[in-house]
Amino acid sequence: MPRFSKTIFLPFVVFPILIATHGFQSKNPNASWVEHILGTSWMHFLLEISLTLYIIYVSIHKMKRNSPNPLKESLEQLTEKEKENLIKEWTPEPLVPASFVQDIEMNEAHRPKVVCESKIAKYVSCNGRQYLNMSSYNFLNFVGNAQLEETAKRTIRKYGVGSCGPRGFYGTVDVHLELEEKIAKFMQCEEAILYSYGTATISSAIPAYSKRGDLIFVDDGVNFSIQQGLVVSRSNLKYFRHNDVKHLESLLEALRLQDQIALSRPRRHFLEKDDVDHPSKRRVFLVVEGLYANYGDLCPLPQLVALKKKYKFRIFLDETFSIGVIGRTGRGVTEHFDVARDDIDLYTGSLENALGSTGGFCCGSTFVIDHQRLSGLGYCFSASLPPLLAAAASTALDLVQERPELFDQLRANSEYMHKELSRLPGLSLHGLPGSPLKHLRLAVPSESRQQDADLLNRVVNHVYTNGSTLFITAKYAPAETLLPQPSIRVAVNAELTQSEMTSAVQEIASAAKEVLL
Amino acid sequence: MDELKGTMGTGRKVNGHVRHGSIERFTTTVTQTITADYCCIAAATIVTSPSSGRDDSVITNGFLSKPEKLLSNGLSNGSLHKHEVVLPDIIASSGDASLVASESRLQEEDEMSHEGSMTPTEPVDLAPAEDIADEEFEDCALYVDIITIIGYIYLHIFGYLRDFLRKLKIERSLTPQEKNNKGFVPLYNDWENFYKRNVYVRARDVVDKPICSVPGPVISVMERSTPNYGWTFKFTGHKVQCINMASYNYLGFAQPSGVCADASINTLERLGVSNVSARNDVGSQPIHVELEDLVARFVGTEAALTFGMGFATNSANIPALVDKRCAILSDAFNHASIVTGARLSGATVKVFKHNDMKDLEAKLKEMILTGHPRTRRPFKKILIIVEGIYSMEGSICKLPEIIALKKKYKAYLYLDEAHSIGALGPHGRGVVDYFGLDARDVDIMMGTFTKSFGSSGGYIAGSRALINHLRHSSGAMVYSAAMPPPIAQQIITSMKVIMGEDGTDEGARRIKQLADNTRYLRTELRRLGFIVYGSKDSPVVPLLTFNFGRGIAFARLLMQRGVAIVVVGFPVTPVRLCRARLCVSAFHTREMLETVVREIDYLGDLCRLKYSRKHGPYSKKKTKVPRLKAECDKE
Repeated sequence: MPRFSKTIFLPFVVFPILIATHGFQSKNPNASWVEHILGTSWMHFLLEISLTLYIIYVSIHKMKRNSPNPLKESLEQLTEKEKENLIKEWTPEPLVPASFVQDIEMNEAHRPKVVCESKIAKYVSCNGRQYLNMSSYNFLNFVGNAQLEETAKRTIRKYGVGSCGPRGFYGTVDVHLELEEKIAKFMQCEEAILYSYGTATISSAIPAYSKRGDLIFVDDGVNFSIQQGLVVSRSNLKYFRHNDVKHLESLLEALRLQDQIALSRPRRHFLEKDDVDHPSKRRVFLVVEGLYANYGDLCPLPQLVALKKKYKFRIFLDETFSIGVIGRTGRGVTEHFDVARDDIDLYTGSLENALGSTGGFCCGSTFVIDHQRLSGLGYCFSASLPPLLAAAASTALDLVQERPELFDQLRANSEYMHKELSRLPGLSLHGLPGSPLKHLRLAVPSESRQQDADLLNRVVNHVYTNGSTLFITAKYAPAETLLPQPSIRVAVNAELTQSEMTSAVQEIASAAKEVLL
Repeated sequence: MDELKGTMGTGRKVNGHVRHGSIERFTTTVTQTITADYCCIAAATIVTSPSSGRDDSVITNGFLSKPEKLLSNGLSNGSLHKHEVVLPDIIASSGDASLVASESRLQEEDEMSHEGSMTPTEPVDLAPAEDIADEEFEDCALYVDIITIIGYIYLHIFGYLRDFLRKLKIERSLTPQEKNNKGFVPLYNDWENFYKRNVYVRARDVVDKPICSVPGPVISVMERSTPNYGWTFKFTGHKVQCINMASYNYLGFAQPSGVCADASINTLERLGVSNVSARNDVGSQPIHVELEDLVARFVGTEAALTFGMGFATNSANIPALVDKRCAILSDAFNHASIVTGARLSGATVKVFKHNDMKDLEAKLKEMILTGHPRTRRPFKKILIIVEGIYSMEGSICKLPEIIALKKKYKAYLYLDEAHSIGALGPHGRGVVDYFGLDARDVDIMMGTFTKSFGSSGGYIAGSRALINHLRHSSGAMVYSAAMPPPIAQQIITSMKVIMGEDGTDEGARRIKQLADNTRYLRTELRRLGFIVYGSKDSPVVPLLTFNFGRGIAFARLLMQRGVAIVVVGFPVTPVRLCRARLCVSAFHTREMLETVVREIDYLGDLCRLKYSRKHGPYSKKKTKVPRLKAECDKE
């Protein structure tokens, strides 16, 4: 867009003034009608016209000289020959650097490469051996559940496998609507929206609301899909230390002071418009996880809600790991902390973890959720969830409500495992006692991250080759911006028996003793 | 007028006498179109005059009998209950109004949809390919543009007026309001939802239609009624049977029975519904390895990777390949997932005009010569991203030219075959197969399984080094749940059928049938005088309606006549290029397509959609689009 110089407006001001000040001087009755109207002679009129044209010419010329693309200008100075040579000289990097894979393979030499020949349920078989699975997010043991499988089979017989279209274009099957209704009811919200992939849910939801100029406060322990959503939104980000409410409050207080200054500043002139990040226009959000995937602890929700009321921001709560896990009946952290449902503006959850299916969902008030039906990228532009998976998730939700004792079992198992795992030699346990997701980190980390990761991989590999339990270290993509310390991730299953847990702990304890001490 | 409204309301039964009548010819085209627009937008009341009876024979003999025969196969007459709103030739299974149909009805439906689908007509000889223009993007007359813009201005004026009335509380606002959060900065800008409030809601009844059957050649759509012009919907409990021209079921593998479904159920019993773990953790199963080997073999590359969602395949892998020191050259009509991926990568993105090789070359040159616009350093890599078939344009990318350019300028090529894999080429192996090229010339082959394979998910195929790199660096590989086994099995089975590895020639037959159906529909629509975009071989058939209101009315009326299509307007397409999109499937029988063409022909006259000035009734030159040989023989 070429920028017009302000001089271009000059003739529009000067020209009428010239005419107006000239006055109707020509009283000559023989004068032409032009002279009567203009009140001046032809010569004078031509002079004014040429003056106007000159001003326009100058302003356009100036505009040309202020061309905003100096790069293009420098290109014009090159001859064709030079251009050809430059193009020939340019050698790109290879598409993928060979060193990256080599490094990874060296670092992960001891990480077991697991290919399971069976269902990835409580027990899995790899390489012909049976393992107790302590590493997949099968918290409620719904993988391999006969009821889920029966529903899925029936759905294939009715609807086939794929849905062959996005939700808007005849890809909505009645099971989707049924599931959305069920989720909304389960989460005690007005409306729910279904996505076809767990990790695409929050990364589509954040950019639907938060745009350029808006401000998001983020806990610096959030998971990868939230990080991606933040990047896509192009909003301004402010990170606070993991679960540190004091730090968040100090950031909010600083922001409030800044806002006061910005709001008290008088407008320079009448037509001035506020910038996109002016406090009167800028929306503020807080994005936190319910149960942190990378740390295994809960967010301090009551304090955050108190801050929300004081500083007026909206809370997006990612319950990917806490739905069907935390709370008396598995309804997530709001139930655990007994926080009012309406205080959280948007919940996102996943059907991929506790509920044993695939996909994700958002829920909240109709005012919030309905917007995503046209603005959620992963909702509008992706094929809908295969009906069989939606039906399976729907059955899983029924089961969750039928069997609330599952959550008591899960909590008891998690607490038992917490007690046992915290005694491991050389390892320190992170996470809440009641949460089934735990991270074992080195008690005394060394300087080198690689070395730590390698040690933990060795521990896991020792159990994998000698024992009959499957543990795995947490893996992070290179694009991860908030890299936590390397850890062994332990996921507790609700239907583990006492003896199974004891043997699993014994195996990892002996491996840790062997490798670390 | 009242009588006419009544006829529209109660549907085909009465309307049958009215509808093939010649439409009252207005004196000037402009008044005519404005009137039509008005009618289309305000309500689906279209001014028609009683017919002279000229076409009545056609209606009773050709029009009604065929679809009736076609659709009611396998349904006993006893259970057939016609209700008032739906047309008689569309079966209304409204015996019980509950949404969940009983098992017996289900089976009946299944049988029915198979009866229609399992017996495709014999492929016909086609006229030589050169007869039809390779790719066409015919422009409309100036008056159509003016009408379109007038339509939008109309919508906006009334939108502002109604917003004003809502503000004064004269009109009750049905937009959901935020209940708590008093004193917060509003969550949405006022203009952000203007379009939704005042335009989208009026057209809401033609989108988001839920179905309750397999997305096969015939679908049952759940009928909805709206008490408040599109703000909320209630299900009436009836189902409407339609010919499905909307789903991406190109090769007809979305089936509730047959090899694919059986194999998926077996796998489900063996490997479970889902594996709640990422591929890099413990989510890998032998079926994934098998699938990846098969995909690599099918596409013709060294190795492949599969992901659980097509959208995530693009949005998670593009950032793993390029970073902020690199550049992306992206086609103007690339899919939203590519745009998201490009944004996530942080690379400098430049957009070139759709399928314009000159523009691509100029931009490539400029990028190499100028380097990064901020740091002024040369780019590390340049990635060209194109799609095989563009889902809204129906055009095929000019792959040979792109490969030549890519080699000349040492850029990398990312080919998204979401719509073309399976649907294009003599062996169904996508756009590379179509042009007879080598897949190894394309650096990254991406595609989805949602469309031709009747499943879900996506793949990346390429050299072994690339795949190994992505295995460790792609977010979808490290964090997201692996592809569920029954989904993977559906792909394996259908891909083997396409490759002919199941021991039958079923796959080859389907590919041939799809090509025939595509040619038939495209030729017929062009002959009738519609503007149809895209390449002659693309199964995505965009029929330009230009005017938004007309498009919506077209879809609405076509639905009443038993054909389901998709209409897309402004936010998805440019303002003046609203279009209806038809997707051809191998399982559409010739009778179905004939019905579709006949209905579209009729509505094309009614809604005045025959814009073409090259062929059809309003063409200036009266050049005929060659008809298919078989059609000529018939006459």
